[in-house]
Amino acid sequence: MTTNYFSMTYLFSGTVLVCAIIALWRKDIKAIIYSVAFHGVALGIVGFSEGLSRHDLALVQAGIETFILKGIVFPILIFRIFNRSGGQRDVEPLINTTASMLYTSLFIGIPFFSIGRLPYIASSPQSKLVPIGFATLLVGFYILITRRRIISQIVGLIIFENGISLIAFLLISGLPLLVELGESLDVLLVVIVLRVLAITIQSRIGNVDLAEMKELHD
Amino acid sequence: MTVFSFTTSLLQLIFILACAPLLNGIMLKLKARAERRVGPPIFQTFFDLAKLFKKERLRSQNASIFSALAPVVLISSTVVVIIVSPILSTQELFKTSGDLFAIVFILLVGSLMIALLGLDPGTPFGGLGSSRAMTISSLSEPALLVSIVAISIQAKSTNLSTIVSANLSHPIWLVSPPHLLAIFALLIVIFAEAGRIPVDNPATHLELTMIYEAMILESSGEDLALIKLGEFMRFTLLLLIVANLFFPFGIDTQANWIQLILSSGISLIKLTILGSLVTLLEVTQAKLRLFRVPELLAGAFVLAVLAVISEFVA
Amino acid sequence: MLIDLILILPLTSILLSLLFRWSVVLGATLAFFNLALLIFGIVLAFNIETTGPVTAIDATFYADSLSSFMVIVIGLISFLSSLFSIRFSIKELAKNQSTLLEISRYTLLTQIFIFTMLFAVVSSSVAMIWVAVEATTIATTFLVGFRKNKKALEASWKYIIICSVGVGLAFVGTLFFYFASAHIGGPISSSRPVSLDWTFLIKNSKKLNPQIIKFGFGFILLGYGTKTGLAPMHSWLPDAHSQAPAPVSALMSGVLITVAFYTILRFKAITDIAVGRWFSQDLLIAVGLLSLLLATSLLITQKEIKRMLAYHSIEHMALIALGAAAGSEIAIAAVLLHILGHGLVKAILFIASGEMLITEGSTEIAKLKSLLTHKPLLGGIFGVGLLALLGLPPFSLFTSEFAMMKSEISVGLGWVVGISLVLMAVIFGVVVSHARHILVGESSGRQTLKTSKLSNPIRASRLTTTPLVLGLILSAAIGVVSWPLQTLLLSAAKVISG
Repeated sequence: MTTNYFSMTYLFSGTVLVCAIIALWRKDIKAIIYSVAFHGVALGIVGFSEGLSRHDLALVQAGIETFILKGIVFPILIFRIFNRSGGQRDVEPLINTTASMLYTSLFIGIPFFSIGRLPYIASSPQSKLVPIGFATLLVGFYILITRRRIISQIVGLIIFENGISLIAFLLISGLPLLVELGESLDVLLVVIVLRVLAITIQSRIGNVDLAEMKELHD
Repeated sequence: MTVFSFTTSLLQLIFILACAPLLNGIMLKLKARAERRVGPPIFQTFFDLAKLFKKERLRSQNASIFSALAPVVLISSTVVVIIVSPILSTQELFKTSGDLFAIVFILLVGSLMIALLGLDPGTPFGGLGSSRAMTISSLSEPALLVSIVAISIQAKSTNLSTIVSANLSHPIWLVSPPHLLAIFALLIVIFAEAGRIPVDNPATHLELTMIYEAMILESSGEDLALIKLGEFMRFTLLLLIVANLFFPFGIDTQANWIQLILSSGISLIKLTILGSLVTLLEVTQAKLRLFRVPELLAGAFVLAVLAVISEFVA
Repeated sequence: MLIDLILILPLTSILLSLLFRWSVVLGATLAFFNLALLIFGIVLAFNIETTGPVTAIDATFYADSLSSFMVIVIGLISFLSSLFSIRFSIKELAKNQSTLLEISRYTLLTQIFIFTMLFAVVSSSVAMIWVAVEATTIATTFLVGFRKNKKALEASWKYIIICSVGVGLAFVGTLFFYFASAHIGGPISSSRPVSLDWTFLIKNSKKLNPQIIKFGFGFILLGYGTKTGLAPMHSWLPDAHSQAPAPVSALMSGVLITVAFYTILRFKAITDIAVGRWFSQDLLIAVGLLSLLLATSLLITQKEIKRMLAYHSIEHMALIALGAAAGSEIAIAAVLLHILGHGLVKAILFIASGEMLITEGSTEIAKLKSLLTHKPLLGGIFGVGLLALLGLPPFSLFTSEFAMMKSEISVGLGWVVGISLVLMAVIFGVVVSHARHILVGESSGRQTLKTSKLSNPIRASRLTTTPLVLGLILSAAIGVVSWPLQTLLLSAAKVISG
C-alpha cells in the first residue's frame, strides 16, 4: 500500500515540475493558465496521497484544500484577469525560450546536488523528492523575473508558492493544520490582492507591459 | 555469432528494406485520405524508387567525391545499424554490438554526409539546408544523448538489446515516469532527426521552409533513389527502435524461430500504428517556424534531464 | 492577560474602523488606543522584568522582554502615526483628493497593519510569525498604492511581488528549522506543535543538525532580509516608502522593517547555538556591507525627500545587521536601542515630510527652499530630525551606533567599522548638503517672488508639530539617560545572545 501511495506521490511531484516547465516553455497565455491549473491539481494530489500514506488527516485536508484553491480557484481568477485584458495572447520573455530551457536544466540539477545532499534528506523516499520542490520554486522565480506581463508575473508567483507547498508536503509531511490554513489563506489573499491590483492597473493605466513601468527606477 | 543471430540480422534487413517504402506509401495514402483526396496507391513509393534508379544521374560540375559518397554512406550506415539493432530479436549479431551510443553516432555519420552533400554542389539552397540541418542537429544531439542515458539507467546498460530484454522482464519500468519522459524526449528528437513535421515538412519544396529537401535538391537518378531509400529506412528503423523501447512485447528473446516470424508480423503492426500516429500528427499540426524549433528541442533536452534526475531519485 | 489585552486593543480598533466611517472622533479614538498600546507595552515589560516571560491562550502567544520591547516600539510609532493620520485625513478630505470611503478603508488597513505586526512579535511559533509577516505585506499593499496613480501602482505591484517572494523564501527557511526540530523528536502534526516554538527551538538548539540549520538560516536571512530592506532584494523599499502616504511610510520605515529584523534576530539566536556564531556573523556582515554600499551609492542621486529617507532606512538596517553580526550582549542591546531610535526619528521625519507635502505641496528637494525662514518650526523639526538620523549626539542613534561599533571592534571586526564609517561619512555629506538646500537654501530673486506668492497660508498644524517636538526630545533623552530602558534592553539582548 505504502509503495502505491509513494509512486503516486512520485508521479505527481514530477507532474508539478513538468507543468511548471511547460508554463515557462509555452507562450500562449491560455496554455500557460491551463498548465498552472494542472500544476495545482497535481500538487493537491501529492498532498492527498502523502496524507493517506501517513494517516495524517491534516495533510489530507491540506491536499484537498490545495486542489480546490490552486487547481480551480486560482486559474479561474487568472482567467478573469486575462479575459478583462483581452488581446494580449503572446508573451515575449526577456530571455529567449531556448536559453530559458537550458537554464531550467540547471534549476533541476542544482537542488539535487545541494539540497539532496543534506543530512536526513536522503533518509526517506519522500524527502528525497524535496529537490523537485526547489526546482519548481526556481522555475517560478525565473518566470517571475523574465516575464513582464501582469498575468505571467502572477503565474510565476503561484508556481513559486506551489514549489514551497510541495517542499512542505514532502519534507515534513506538511505543517500543522493551523499553520497550513494560515499559509493558504495568505497565498489566497496575495492572489486576490494581485488581481485587484492588476484590474486597477489595467483600468487606470491601460494594458501596459510592466516593463514600461519604470518611473521609479534608480 | 550464431546461425540464428545471422539469420535475424538478414531478416531485419530484408524486413526494413521491404517495409520502409511500404510505410511511406501507407503514410502518404493515409495523409491523402485525411485530406479527402484519393492519394497514390500504397505501393507507389516502390515504383517511384524504381523509376529513379532507371533515370540518368546528373551531378554538378563543382561536385566533388562527396556527392558520390554521400548516398552510399547514408545507406551503408543505416544498414549497419539495422543489422546490429534488436528489431525482431534481442539476439545480437556480435557481443554488445547494439550499443545505443554507437547506434546514434553511426546514424550521425549518415546525417553528416547528407549535410556535406548539400554543400557540395555550391548551390545556395544546399548550403542553406545544410546549415539549418546542422543547427537542429546540434541541439537535438544533446537531448538524444541525455535521453539515452535516462533510458539506460534502469537496465544499467547502454546496450539496446539488454535494455529491451530488461524492460521485458520488468514491464513496470515501461510506465515509470523517467522512462515516459525519456521516450517523449526521444520522440521529439526523432521527429527532428527524421525531418518530419513539426520540425521539417518532407512534402514541401518551398525555399523558405525546406531543410532536408534543400540538401538533396541537386541529387538525381540513382543518387536520389539511394538517398530516398536510405531516408525511409532510417525513419522506419527509428520508429521500430522507439517501439521496442516503449512497447517491446512480441520481440523474440529466446532464439525461437517461430517467435522470430511472429515478431516480423507484430513489428509490421507496430510500424503501421506508429506511422498512422505520425501521419495524424502531420495532418493536424503545422510546421513550427524555424526559430521555434530550438525551443522545442531545448524542451526535449529539459525533459531528458528531468528523466535522468528522476531516475536517481527513484 | 496582558498579551490578550495587547491583541484585543488593535482588534477593537479594527472593529471600530470597520463599523464606523472615518471621522475626527474615530481618528482620535484610534490614536488613544495606540497610546494605550504603548502603555500596555511598558507595563508588560515591567511585568516580564519581575516575573519572567508570559504566555497566553494555551501558549499560542508568548512574550519575553524582547517581545515586550518590540511592542513598545510598535506602540510608540503607531501612536505618532495615528496622530498624524488625523491631520492627513482631514486634509485629504478638504482637498477632495480622496473620498470618505477611501479614507475609511485607509484607516482600516492601517489598523490591520498594526495588528499583524503585534501578532508577529508576540507569537510563540516560528510559523505563526511567518503568517503574520506575510499578512503585513497584504495589508500594506493597498496602502502603498493609495494614490492609485501610475507611480503608486507600480510601487505597490513591485512591493507585493518582491515581498511575497522574499517571505516565501523565509517560509522555506522556517520549514528547514521545523524539519531539523522534528528530527530531534519534537512532536509534529499535533494540533499545536511545540516543535515550532521559540522556546522549544532555543532549548534544543544544540541538538539541531547544523547543516540543515545553516541552509535554513540562509533562507531566513534572505527572506526576512527582503522585508527588512536588506540587499539583494531591497528594491521595493524606496518605492514603497516614497509612494505610501506619510503616516504609512512612518509605520513601514519605523517598525515594519524592524519587525522583520526582529524575526531574523530570533532565528540567529537558534543558529548561533546550533552552528556557532561565526556562521550568522559572516552572513550578516556580507548582507550588511552590501546593503550599506547600495544605500550610499543610491542615496547620492536622490531628488526627493521621502525617497532619500527610504534609502536612509536601508542604511540603518545595514548598520543594525552589522551590529547584530557582532553578537555580544552589548551589541544586541545597542541594536535594539537603534531599532527604537531609528523608528522614532524616521517616523518623525516621514511625518514632517508629510506635513511639508501638505504645506508646501511638494517633497522634491529642488522645489523646497529656505524652509527654515518661512516655516521655522517645521523646518527646525526636520533639520534636527536629520541631525538625529545622522547620528549626532545627544540623540539616541549616536549612543547606539557608538555602542554597536565599539562591540564590533571588540570582536575583531575593526575593518567592518572602518568601511561603514567611510560610507556613513559620504551619506553625512550628501544629507547635509540636501538639508542646507531645503532649510536655508538661497533662493534667487525670481524664485523668492514665486515662493512668496506660493508660500500659501497653510500653516503647519500644532497637532503635528507638538508630538514631533516631543518625540525628538524623547529621542535625545533616551540618548542621554538610558535608564529605565537599560535594564529592559539588556534583558532583551540576553534572549538573543544567550
